[in-house]
Amino acid sequence: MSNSTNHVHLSPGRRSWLRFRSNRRGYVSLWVFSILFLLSLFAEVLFNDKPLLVSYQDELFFPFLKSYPETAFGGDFETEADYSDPYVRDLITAGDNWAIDPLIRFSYNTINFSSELPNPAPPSSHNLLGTDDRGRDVFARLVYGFRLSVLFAFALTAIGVAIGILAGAVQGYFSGRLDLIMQRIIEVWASMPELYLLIIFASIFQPSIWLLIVLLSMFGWMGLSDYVRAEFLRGRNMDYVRAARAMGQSNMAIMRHHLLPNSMTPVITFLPFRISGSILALTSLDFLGLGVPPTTPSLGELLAQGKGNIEAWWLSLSTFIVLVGTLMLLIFIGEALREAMDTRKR
Amino acid sequence: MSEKLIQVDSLKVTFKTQGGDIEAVRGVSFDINTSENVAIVGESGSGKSVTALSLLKLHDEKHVDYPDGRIIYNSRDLMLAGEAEMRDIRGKDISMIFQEPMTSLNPVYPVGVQIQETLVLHKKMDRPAARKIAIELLDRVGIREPQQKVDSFPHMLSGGQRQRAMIAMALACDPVLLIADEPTTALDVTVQHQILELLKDLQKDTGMSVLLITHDLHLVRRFADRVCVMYEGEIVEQASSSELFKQPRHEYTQYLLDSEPETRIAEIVPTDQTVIKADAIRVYFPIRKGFFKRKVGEVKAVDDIDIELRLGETLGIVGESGSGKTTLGMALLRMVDSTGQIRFKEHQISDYREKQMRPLRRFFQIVFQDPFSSLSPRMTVEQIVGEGLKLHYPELNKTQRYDRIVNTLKEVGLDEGALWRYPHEFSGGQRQRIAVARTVILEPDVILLDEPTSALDVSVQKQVLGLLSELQVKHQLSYLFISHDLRVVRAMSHRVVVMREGKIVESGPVRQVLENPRKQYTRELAQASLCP
Repeated sequence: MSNSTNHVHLSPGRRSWLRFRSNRRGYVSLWVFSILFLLSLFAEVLFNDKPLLVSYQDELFFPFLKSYPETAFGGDFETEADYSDPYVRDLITAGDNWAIDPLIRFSYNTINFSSELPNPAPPSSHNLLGTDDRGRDVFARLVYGFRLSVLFAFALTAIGVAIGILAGAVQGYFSGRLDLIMQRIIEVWASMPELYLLIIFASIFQPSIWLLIVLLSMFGWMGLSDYVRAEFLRGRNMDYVRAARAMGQSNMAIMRHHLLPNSMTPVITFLPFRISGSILALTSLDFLGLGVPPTTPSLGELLAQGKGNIEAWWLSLSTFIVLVGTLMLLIFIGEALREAMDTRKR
Repeated sequence: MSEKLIQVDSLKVTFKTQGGDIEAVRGVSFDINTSENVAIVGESGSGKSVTALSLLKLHDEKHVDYPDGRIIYNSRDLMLAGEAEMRDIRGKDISMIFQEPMTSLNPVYPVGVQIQETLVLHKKMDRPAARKIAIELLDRVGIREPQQKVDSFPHMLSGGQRQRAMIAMALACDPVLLIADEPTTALDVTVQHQILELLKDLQKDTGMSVLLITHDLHLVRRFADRVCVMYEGEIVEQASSSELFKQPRHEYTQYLLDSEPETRIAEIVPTDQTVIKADAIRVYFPIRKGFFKRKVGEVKAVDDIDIELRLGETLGIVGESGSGKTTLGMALLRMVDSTGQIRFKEHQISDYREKQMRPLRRFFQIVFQDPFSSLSPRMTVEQIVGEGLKLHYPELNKTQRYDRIVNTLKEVGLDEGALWRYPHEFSGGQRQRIAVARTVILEPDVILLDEPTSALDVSVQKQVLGLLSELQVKHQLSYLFISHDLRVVRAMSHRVVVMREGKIVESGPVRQVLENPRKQYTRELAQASLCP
């Protein structure tokens, strides 16, 4: 016990953080992932076909936030200005006018009409990672696709974990008849063919990311709830739960303060796998064409294109690297997180 | 008693851990003669079991190192023996029985098959012959109806029978040395007695030697010819049993002998004010069978018990495992459903619903037996001790709460530094102190002490008992003291209730019941656990 005196005054949260940091790989992964994710959140500023700021005749315009007709810059059309058009470009940069452009002048949907090579075009100084079969910049699509995948995975995991814990906790804590009934319902529910439902729903409704989240959430919680249920069943007979009952704690408080923290092992252990599983689910559905609509940037769609254009190595290789890199980072972070949550580890 | 059977010479054992090597045994030397009973006595962590396991080299070589020492058996040094050679010795020449008979028997095989295993292995017998021997062995260790019992699975036997089966297994190949590692710790007192008698008889018949590992000095006095006292990996004293108890030379031995629970009955006159009064308490558990879960019978865990607890008094509840003493305690605090009347001061709590009980819960608290499972491993000591305060004294602000937690911790003998740590960073005794702090901080009237010291070493047990009686006087607490250990009950209680199979056998002032028992059962209990 003598060597624990040196962190006597550290709060529990602080000690968890120290444990997390002691796993170097996980710690570095967290940094790399956070930076990448943060950058991707600002993808509109970094990857856009519209300038961030335009000064036209001493007046300031913010094209990436607001849509301006071409006439605003002295053009001919009432429609929104196409800033990649050399004519418009000339208008906003002539004389005292100036424009600040994003880092990469392609959004995920921008088609590079000025490409000299047929699409898909290999990497060039214009399109760093080439273009896909419709002439859209692969780099931009990757970044937007990464963002969508990660956000989707986080949302799906959060919902799945929340429902899973809730259902498992109720079953495990109250057990008996309620547990029996819920267990049977879960068995029936789990035997529904998920993929068929997705195909059916994709033909009834307009496919969208929200539809996918709802459908996948409806089925994604069951694996976890079984584990949480088992942990609660085991925990409810422990003496510390009895002590809390003797103290007069309510059922809710016992579940939240005593059983839940002691039942988190399966939740935390599966967390990285759930997140990467969600990313893979979205990617494979997109790959099969059952996922998000084709204009939405997605990794799965890029992979499908790579399969269709097997000679365009930049499509499949770059997507592959992004996908594997993301999954690996998440797994490493999850590993460190698991160690951080273990209060018994020094 | 002449020939040296096995010689252990300056044995050292270290455990390899990530934080460096830990010396568990530091140069231990002792001999065992043929037909001799040697006991190694020590508290947990003294290295006694490690020493015993080393004789058979049962440690995992990845984690254990033997830097020094020799174990001479049959003019061979076992330290130099290879794994194949050791396998030949294990179970045949030297066999071993363990503490927990439930986990040391394989639950998926009948006991007979497990006994046959060693016979088939070492004596190259065929199965039918081995089976015959197995039945003989079961008969010899005093299991009735060995013909039937040979096909029983471990869970179908009682704790005592399981330990007997273990002994039968160990005896199968007529070993010259039997190592018994805490063979009776998990058993009831009366059964403990029987098992020791059995070991002694068998030893007389077969002429084998026995090495007994235990923490219980009393066991040793009755059993061993020679005693080695171990402390922190060393043998501090080695003497014949009669000599050691008459004249302990080393101070640690004296300390161990002194740590008998001394009478601690708080000197306050228990008032006539009744705290809890219960009439005709019954707790029946239904036995259900079949597909429709039809009720086919009942287990009468607590059967028509009247009990009364006065202010400032300790009421001991004694009985063997399964006698219903814990269930009774839990029923009195409304932790399990029961029928009958329970009065707590002016509240008729037997009529209260769970919601009505909650505000009253502050007045009755529980300290459990196992300090490792009674504290949530994911909460700091501050959270554990402060939890009840938040609930029952919501008017306290953060600093007031903090002060009160620190004061209570000091009261139970822990310092402020404990606040931020997790339970696993404390020893068993300290954990039990935390569990006590969690209860007294709420200023309860009644504390149910459910075997509060059974999981602790004797010396720690003494300290915890001292703390409990101190707190009792200070706060005028009433204790319901549940224990199977009559010595502890005698030391702590004003009155005592003896339970058996859900009923009260005898009750009254502690002296009268334990020293002049009127009932046969009480007499047996008292004899088994009180007479040295």
